[in-house]
Amino acid sequence: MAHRHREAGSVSCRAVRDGVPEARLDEVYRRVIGVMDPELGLSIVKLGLVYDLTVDGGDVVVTMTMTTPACPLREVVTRDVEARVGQLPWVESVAVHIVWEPRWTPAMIR
Amino acid sequence: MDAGDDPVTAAAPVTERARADRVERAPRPAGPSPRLAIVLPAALALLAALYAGLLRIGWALPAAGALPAEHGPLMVGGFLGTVVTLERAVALGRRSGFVYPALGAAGALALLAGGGAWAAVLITAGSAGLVGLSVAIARRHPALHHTTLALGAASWLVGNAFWVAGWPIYRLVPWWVGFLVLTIAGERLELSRPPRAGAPSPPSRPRCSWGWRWPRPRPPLGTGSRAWPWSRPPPGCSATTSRGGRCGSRG
Repeated sequence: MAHRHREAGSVSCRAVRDGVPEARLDEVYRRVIGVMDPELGLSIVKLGLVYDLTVDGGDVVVTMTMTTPACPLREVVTRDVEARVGQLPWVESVAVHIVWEPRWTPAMIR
Repeated sequence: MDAGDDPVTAAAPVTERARADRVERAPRPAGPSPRLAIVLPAALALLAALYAGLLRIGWALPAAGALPAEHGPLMVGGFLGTVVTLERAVALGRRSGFVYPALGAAGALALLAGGGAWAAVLITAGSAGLVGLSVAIARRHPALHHTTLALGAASWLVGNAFWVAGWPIYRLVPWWVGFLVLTIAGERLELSRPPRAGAPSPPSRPRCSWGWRWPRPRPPLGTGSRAWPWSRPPPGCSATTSRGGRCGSRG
């Protein structure tokens, strides 16, 4: 499915299936933007760590990275994303995928 | 400047590239107990090292055999080295990586039990693992801070190898100090890249020559925190849904 990006660190939000209400994408985004990097105290979205949000019915996939592969907080951040998105009543599953490419740089901070 | 530094180049194909590259499922912790088995010996090593340090500076405490002589190995290898290796294993997210901090924890227990030779071998094996973990991270993202961390691990390994070879502790100190200094330097370098909470962001704040920053300007009254761009609907969040809508749009 086609999608567009406007700037580094922007989040692509995609509905895989027809009929997914746009409000669901919005809700997922609002949940994810509330997740803070515990070490930096900034939203992971503002930091540009979140690359992609995908909603397929009740299944949500968050594709994101960390500021460095040496960061030991990936589990903490992952659990926070899962917990916050999982609170949405229509969400059946949340998967957080950590990718290392494209590599995060400070230029991705929004 | 590489592609990742260029906002335009980095942005456009981001999702395609993310899909094409290896995707890691976030590691699921098996529970606290396996890691506690590593952390507890390290904590014991810290306490014993502090006790040994107090004995060495002349405090009148009950003597504990050869413990004062083990102050350095307990602090550097049993505690700091084990914890740093555990941190690196957690970051890499491979289950096999936890073998190395476990070796350090076993070495810490061996030190406490008075088995200095076994402790040296175990901790040296753990430090070799730390070098491997650090190199894996540096290869994943070649960068100065990762290279610095790897050099720190290598310094620890070299010192430990001399320890196994029977060198006296005082001759190992430069290598062990190199481990600690390079590890701290690498982490400081890494943390110096992204801004801290409250660092200048739009609107920017003037900075005094001695580093004090003006407080972040508050949004206009009544607008709430949404006055700042990162609290708004995602400007670059272009969702193409079946109806071609945009994620985060408010209508």
